[in-house]
Amino acid sequence: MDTFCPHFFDLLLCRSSFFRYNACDMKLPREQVEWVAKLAQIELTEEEKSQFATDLSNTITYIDELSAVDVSGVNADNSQITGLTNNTEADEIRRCEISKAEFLNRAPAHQGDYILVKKVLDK
Amino acid sequence: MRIAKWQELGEKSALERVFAMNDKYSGLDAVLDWDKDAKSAGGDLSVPYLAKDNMATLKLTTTAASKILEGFVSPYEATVIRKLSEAGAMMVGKSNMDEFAMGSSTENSAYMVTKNPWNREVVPGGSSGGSAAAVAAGIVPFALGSDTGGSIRQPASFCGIVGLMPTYGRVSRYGLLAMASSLDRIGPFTNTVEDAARVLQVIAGRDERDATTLDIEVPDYVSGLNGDIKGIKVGVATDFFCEGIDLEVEKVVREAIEVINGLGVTQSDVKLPHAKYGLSTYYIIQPAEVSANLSRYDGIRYGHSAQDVDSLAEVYAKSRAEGFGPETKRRVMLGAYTLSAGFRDAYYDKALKVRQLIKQDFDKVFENVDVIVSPTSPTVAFKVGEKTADPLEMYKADLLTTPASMAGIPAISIPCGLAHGLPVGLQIMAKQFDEATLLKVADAYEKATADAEWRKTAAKLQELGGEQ
Repeated sequence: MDTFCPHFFDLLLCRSSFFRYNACDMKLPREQVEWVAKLAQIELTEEEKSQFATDLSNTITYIDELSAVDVSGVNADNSQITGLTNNTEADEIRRCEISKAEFLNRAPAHQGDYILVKKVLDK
Repeated sequence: MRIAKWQELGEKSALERVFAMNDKYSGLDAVLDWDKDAKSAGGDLSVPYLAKDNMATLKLTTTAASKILEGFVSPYEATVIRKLSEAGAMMVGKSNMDEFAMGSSTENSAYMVTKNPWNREVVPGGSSGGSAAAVAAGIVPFALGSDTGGSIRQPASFCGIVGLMPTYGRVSRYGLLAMASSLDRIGPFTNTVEDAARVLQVIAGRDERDATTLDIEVPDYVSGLNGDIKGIKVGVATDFFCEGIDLEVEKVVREAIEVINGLGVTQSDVKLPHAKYGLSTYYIIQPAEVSANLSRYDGIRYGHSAQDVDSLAEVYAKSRAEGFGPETKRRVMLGAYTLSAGFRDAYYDKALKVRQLIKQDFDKVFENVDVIVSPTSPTVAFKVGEKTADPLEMYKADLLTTPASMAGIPAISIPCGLAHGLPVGLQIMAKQFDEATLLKVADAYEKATADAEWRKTAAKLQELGGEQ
């Protein structure tokens, strides 16, 4: 099951301040990079896996500084920075200005009025 | 050269000048696609301009400097492009940028590396580097950029021109290729503050097609620019003169602040204790939103689609592997990581809260001052290739620009002198929707330093003929 990342609990431990600087100053384990690439739907080469392991761990170590910030009492429920809420549009049907052909012609492959994709389910 | 001067040339000569200047700067690599038959519809802003290539245009390609959108022509047009064309402006080309606006040097473009017209060895900044370089070189009187963490202000600083990031929600992003939706903003690059005000005047305002735009009146930005800023309260962001700032940059910026001080303002030091977390907050929120926004590039409906694949999952994974460059992959993966099960609370939700703390710091300071001044960037433009091997070092170029991005406030970078022979930018920040005061202070500084020696060096870049 790939809901949680491999070594998730090790990483939680890493995030505690005691372990942060010794346990995490290293590359992300390879299976974690592969797991993230899978979530991101990007196929990686072996070289990229190694490079991104270094790059991602450096960045994660840096952004981990936020774990020390006290945010108790901060409400971020409305994270819209100008305070805008419920800016809704009228619920009415509007004709699309762009023609069907314009959409279809931009697709890598189409058949009739449909965009062609690879088979998802086997019989 | 100012917009007004370009207008005096007339449509035909102005367009000829664009291409003559571009020839003078051959090898600058600022523009991805040209429209050689641009025409003006007639109006107040009848001059040529460039749009960053992440803005949808009907005639030219819109690629966001990515291979995944190579050759893509949008079926619709961005609101800013439509508004500018209604005002008579002629879009003559699409400017180079870091792929999907991710980067601080324009070296992440899939097509070419733009150079800084001040010195071809150094970067123009990024991500809107093509727009900044073209305006600094005098190829066009103005250009549009987008700013998410500093992508207008930092290249403006590196190229010695004016770059304005308006308040979040002041300018419609309809037709801007979404990158980090809670941060993306569109703004102009110009040679003068008055020109920035003129462009903002045209592009600002509520747009039904961008639900984050607000129905707040657009004031007359230009008429307030009279050089009189007596009584305005200016805060100096002492935290922004941080460790690692180049000493010559610091000296030039402090001198600029002294000039403003001499214009009859009240000046005081202000503290923004959480601003130092702007960068970390940015590099959580931005990649998280990127990973969601860029999931649309999947090789199905438009853009690059991988060949010789067997399954739908392979279409996605291979199209994205072939179409995205390294920095885009890095950010999409970082976002996927911080948003994944178990980590979301620790990263994304935490960052949203820290973002509120940064905003609260600004709110508190703005109870006592009208504008805040600081350096735009801790350094001048760095060498091409200097930071490409270390992404985190590249990210740190945004250290002083990300706080304003987080707080949703407007900020401008204006040229204020030279250090190591390269331009230095002064950043001015104001309250949300108070672009008028921001522009007024920036304009007053510009007028007070109109005869400065370094401005002559800048003006020389834009002359036709001669050595470059």
